[in-house]
Amino acid sequence: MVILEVEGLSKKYLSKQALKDINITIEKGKIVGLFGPNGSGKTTLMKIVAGLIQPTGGKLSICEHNLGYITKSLVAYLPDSDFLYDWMKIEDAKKIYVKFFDDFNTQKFNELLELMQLSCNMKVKSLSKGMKEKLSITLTLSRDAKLIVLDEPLSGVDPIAREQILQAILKGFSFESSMLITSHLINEFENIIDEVYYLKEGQIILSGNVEMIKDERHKTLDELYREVFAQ
Amino acid sequence: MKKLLSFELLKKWKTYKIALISVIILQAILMLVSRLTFDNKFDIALGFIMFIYVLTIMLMFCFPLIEIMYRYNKDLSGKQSVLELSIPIISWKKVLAKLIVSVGCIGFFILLALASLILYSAVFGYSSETISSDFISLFNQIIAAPDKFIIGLIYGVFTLASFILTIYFCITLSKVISHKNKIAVPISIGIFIAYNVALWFIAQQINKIPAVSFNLWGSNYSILASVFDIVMFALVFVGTSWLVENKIES
Repeated sequence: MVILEVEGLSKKYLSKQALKDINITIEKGKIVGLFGPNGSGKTTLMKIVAGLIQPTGGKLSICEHNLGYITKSLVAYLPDSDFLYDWMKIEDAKKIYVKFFDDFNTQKFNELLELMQLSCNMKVKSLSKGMKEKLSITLTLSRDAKLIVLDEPLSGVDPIAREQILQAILKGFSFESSMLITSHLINEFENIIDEVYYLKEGQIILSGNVEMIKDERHKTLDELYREVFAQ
Repeated sequence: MKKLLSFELLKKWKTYKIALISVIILQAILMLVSRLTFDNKFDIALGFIMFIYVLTIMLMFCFPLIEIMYRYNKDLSGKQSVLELSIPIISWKKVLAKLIVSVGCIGFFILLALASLILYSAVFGYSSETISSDFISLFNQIIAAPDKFIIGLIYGVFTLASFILTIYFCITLSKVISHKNKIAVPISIGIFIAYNVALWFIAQQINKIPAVSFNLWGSNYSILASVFDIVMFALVFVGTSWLVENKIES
């Protein structure tokens, strides 16, 4: 079953072409990596998938639904920046997710929260950057959404927190859904992703099954990244 | 819709809580000081206290209006806009929930400001019997003509809702044009002025057309102008919702 289907997608900001002729297909149960340097269009693409940005051209469907408020209920999106209100306690954030997202799994949330060593009575305002990132990822992964979109889930966190987040990603993933991840820390995701897309200046320049690419090129994904983007 | 309303109310409460409690405490202190120092003659110190008290009442009128603009702006382009725009509910419901809660909040603050005025006047010997009789007289007027009161109330709420919706529309349109606050703020002010000038001009033309009018508390209102107001409200509401759904980007 195809979860995400992107055909000839483009996005233009005035004279700047942010994305051009993007074609992506993600099937159920797959974890897909989207890699590229800063400004390559990764976040723009992620936001389009999450329904936060409108594409200029092309088609995008999630579980056969065109972009709209219905697809927002199918996608759990982790932005690359802090998005919770400072007045919130973790309990408040949980209540808001329970209220608005029918697929929010409270039991999963409690388990992930424990794994991240956070508690419900903590205030968002008092959390460090790493703790906020852990809370955001806990909220995102607690949704039994069809498509989980993680934009830089490991940015700005220490190695221990990084380990916890990676554990949470694996714990939170279900083969009934799919995951799209972007990160500059390719090594960390090398062993969990099934398919990869390399994005350069808004265009996909290399894509395919991770194992096949590695076998063909005799390189790790990180080495391949350096080869592709060093040029 | 219920979920959106409770979320909007929660956000308002979290914003207003400290300001509201502070103003109430400040007013209580000012009333107490006035009561203790007032001995049937006014002096500069008492005048100053009264001035501060009036300022707190004015704050009750201005604060919710400023907060409405600030909050809506942040909901569309602040760091929490990701959460706001990710909520899988169609935009017209989001706009309507914001509008209902904002009108309710302003109504609440108006009542609070009136209560503050009445309480303060009681401090200066405006006896509770006089206040009660004023209330009874007002209540009797309402009982005598409930239809006029209801129409007046609906008209007041509608005017307030139209005003807030126009602000929403101007902010939304400016955000569609530019995400940068330095540009978006003057654009939204420009749109607001242009919109009201255009509305005023059309209203002038409508007033020239002979149409059925009705009298409400001594003022004449044209039916045609009222229909025009309702149509404009609907258009601005649909326009704002469409822009939020299709053009706002986080």
